[in-house]
Amino acid sequence: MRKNKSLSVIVFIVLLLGSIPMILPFIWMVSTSLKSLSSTMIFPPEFFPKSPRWQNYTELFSLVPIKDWFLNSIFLSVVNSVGIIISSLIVAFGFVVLNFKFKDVLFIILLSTMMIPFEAIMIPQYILFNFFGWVNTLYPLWVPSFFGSAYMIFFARQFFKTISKNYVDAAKIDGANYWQIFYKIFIPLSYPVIVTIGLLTFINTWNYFLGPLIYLNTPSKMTIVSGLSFLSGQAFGYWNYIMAGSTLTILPIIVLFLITQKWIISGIALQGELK
Amino acid sequence: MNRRSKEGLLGYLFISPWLIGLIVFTVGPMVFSFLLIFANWNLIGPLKFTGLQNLIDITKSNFFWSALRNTAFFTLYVPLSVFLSLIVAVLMDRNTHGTSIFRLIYFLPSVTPAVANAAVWVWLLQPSYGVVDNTLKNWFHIQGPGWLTDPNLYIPTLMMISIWGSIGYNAVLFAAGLRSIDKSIYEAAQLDGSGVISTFFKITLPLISPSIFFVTVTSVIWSFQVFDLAYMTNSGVTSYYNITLVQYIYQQGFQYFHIGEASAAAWVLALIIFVITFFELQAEKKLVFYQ
Amino acid sequence: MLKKYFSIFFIVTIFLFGLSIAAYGKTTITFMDWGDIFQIQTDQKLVDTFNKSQNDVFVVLQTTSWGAYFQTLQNRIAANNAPDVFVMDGAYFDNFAKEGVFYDLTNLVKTDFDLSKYYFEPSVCEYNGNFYGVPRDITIGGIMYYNKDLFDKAGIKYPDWDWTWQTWLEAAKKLTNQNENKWGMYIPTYGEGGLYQIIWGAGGHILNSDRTKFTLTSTNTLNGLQFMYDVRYKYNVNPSESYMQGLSDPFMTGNFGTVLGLSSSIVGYKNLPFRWGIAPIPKGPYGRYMSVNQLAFVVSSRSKNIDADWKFIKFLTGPEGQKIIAEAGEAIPALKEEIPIYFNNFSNASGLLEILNKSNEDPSILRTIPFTLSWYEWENMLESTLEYAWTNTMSPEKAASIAQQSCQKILDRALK
Repeated sequence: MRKNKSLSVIVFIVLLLGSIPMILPFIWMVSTSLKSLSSTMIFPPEFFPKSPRWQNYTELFSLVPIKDWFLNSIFLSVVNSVGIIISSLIVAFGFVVLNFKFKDVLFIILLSTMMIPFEAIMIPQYILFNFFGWVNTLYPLWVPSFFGSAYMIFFARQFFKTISKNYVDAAKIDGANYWQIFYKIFIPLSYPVIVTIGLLTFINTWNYFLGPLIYLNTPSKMTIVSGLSFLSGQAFGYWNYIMAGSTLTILPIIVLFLITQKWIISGIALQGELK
Repeated sequence: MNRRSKEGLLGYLFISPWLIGLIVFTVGPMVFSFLLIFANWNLIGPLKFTGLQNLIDITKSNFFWSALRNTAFFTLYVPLSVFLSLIVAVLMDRNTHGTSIFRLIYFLPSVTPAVANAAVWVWLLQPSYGVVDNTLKNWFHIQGPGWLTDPNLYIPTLMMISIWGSIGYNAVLFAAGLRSIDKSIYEAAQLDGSGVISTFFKITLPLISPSIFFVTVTSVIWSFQVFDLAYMTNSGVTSYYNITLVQYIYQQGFQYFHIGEASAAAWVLALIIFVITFFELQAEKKLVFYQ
Repeated sequence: MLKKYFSIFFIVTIFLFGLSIAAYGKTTITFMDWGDIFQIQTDQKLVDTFNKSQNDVFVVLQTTSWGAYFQTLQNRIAANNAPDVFVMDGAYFDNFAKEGVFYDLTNLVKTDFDLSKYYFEPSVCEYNGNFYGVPRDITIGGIMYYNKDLFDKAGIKYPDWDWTWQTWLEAAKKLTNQNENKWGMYIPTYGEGGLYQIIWGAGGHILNSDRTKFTLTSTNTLNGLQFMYDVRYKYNVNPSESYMQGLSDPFMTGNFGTVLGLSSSIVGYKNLPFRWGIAPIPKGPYGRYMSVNQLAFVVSSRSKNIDADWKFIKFLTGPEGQKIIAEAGEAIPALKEEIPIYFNNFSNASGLLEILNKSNEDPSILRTIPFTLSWYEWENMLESTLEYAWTNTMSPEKAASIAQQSCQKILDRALK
């Protein structure tokens, strides 16, 4: 018993020390958001502002259409999460549980789609979306999510492969069809994975800045992360406002993260019962 | 219709969302991008086919080879990153107090904007006033190097920053896998008298190997495509020691009007990643344990 | 029920009909520019003022951030979706012009535009003898920003038109105190910010007069590069590049007595916590030279509404449009008569107005940037190669001879 307790203390201390470099950029971001523009430029930079300038936040709201940006970001992030969860799980199930011709080749193709850098297909993809008439709309930023993401399909596939074939065989003997196996066995066992896919997709969409910049024509249609790039010009950037906006951007993510951690834990309990 | 072909059909049905998306959104642009390797295109008007000239041109470019070398070396950070992330994930799994907060703090670098991360590291590593070099000077009387300005240290420094930034993210990916391991297996092992280290290597590692495989494969793919981190620390002023492959592609395609060469370099990059991933898939058969 | 639907249908039809009447006869064109939130407000004002002032043309503003502008533009051109009118800068002008992206404005400019009233840069408006762009604004590079508070503290007189590189060095030595992180000068290592102007002041050139051959290893050019090196490693009045890492705008820190820079920085310096002024670059052995750069308005070669586009351009470059640009303070208008209005915004920047006025008497003090095809590519090569000299890894001569070879290779390829 004593051995376990001292181990726990060591674990805690190690994690605590490690968290110092992890939290530094966050502190820097918040500290910069409270500086006046000229004190962001001081050299050598000072870590904490002499007098915090809370007005940066209120001024930000009148400078840029933050409310519109927030709504756009929330819309895209939620829709993308839903789309990717549904499509990735269905596709991963197909790759893992069913056997069909060319399955291995198709899986390799799936992985290969992750290997082309975005810069190589940006222009051809823009031409395609322009052909659909989707330029200056949000469609290019969420419709593709309902067709799966290679990364998340791969992630779900790894998890599904750990689910014992015995469950599948037993269900088939009981007369279940594949859809029922998917719905009644695999999904309930996958709550941690579902939540993780949703969380990561939400965050990726929330932080995606290039897509909105090339597909949307007006600042008011932007998402919050892309919109903040309008506070940085050719000559210099309004770093204090940008960091204030970034801090506001991260807060929902932090809340979401903490909530989903609870779901993962409770999902495990449910999973134990099901087995 | 026999059972085999019915299963085959159902299989295609299940993967149809991805397949349809592939055909509609991805195949066209990829084919076009591939064709650009063999052509000269000025954005207006038809493609002028130039055969293999673009490929020849990039092999003659010093910057291409520098970028390739830098990027390949940079990718070597992945094994260390995976290992450290796994350790941290296991520690968090075992931790009793405030695990959620720890997970959040370690995850923060992945969600703070890249400019904030870069600014903090530049600030820490600045040769004149940075914390690191100042500590070295005052406590150890060593003149610290220019971490991001010394040609020999630039890539290693970038590797260190990447390891730092990836630990929390990977730990979240591992967490899902770790949490799914049945606690009864651990209890059985403890009853058998297995110690901490032994449990880790004999039970945790094999059971988490699918996640390790995933993190490794995707980290390698990402690291070969590194752009943001490099751009933030070299501000686009590229030299033989700090240019990465995607920076090279970006410059050629969007700043220098050599779209064909950009495409050629992009597909060479994809080929390299593909070959490496192929070897990883072979290793999967031997090293990864599924139930 | 039916009656309700019918009346709704009726109202909607009348509404649409009315809308189409209102739009009838109006040509809609798109105008694209980059900017931060304030520059976009200026553009919106330009567009709104123009739309209100007449009924034939309706302009729709499209914007993106500076970092994404050229990618967005290339996407649109490739998809045949280019904006009708947009803004172009010198780094890309020649390449885009060569590809046929711009509409040839030569006839319109010759018959309907008075170039003499403008600061006009051929390298951003003309290609192969034809006009593809008209002037929007100007940027002067290599002007000297000086920190009045630091000068007062050291008891030195402010820089003036008599300053030479010698006087500059002497003042810089008095202003430098490394223990306090104070430096006498900073000369940027990128072309427009200081490199070009120092080379010119030493009597050197980047390219020969027809812009086909680099002259980086000529004696005068090397003397200019040597000066840049010496201020860093012989006189120690300019910090090394390693020190500068992470410092995006040295002047804003308040630690530098003099900094060479661009006129576009003025808008960012407006509220600095110290007093400052602008002086011309000090005289080098062969004279004083600052650079003049420009942004141009261009028209897409595939635009379907050239008349409407030209009408809008006349407004943008006319007194009304240029006045709006001047009042906003983010760029100096190219139309000379509106320039004083720009300076109403910035009491500290009167030194620049003096430079502009003097240039009317003596045009030689402002030199054009040597833009060519593939300018961006060789400029990057030049800067990253010379970096070896500025980090004291290599002598300026060696760096220059390597740059000479590599840049010439790029230019030769572009001109083939």
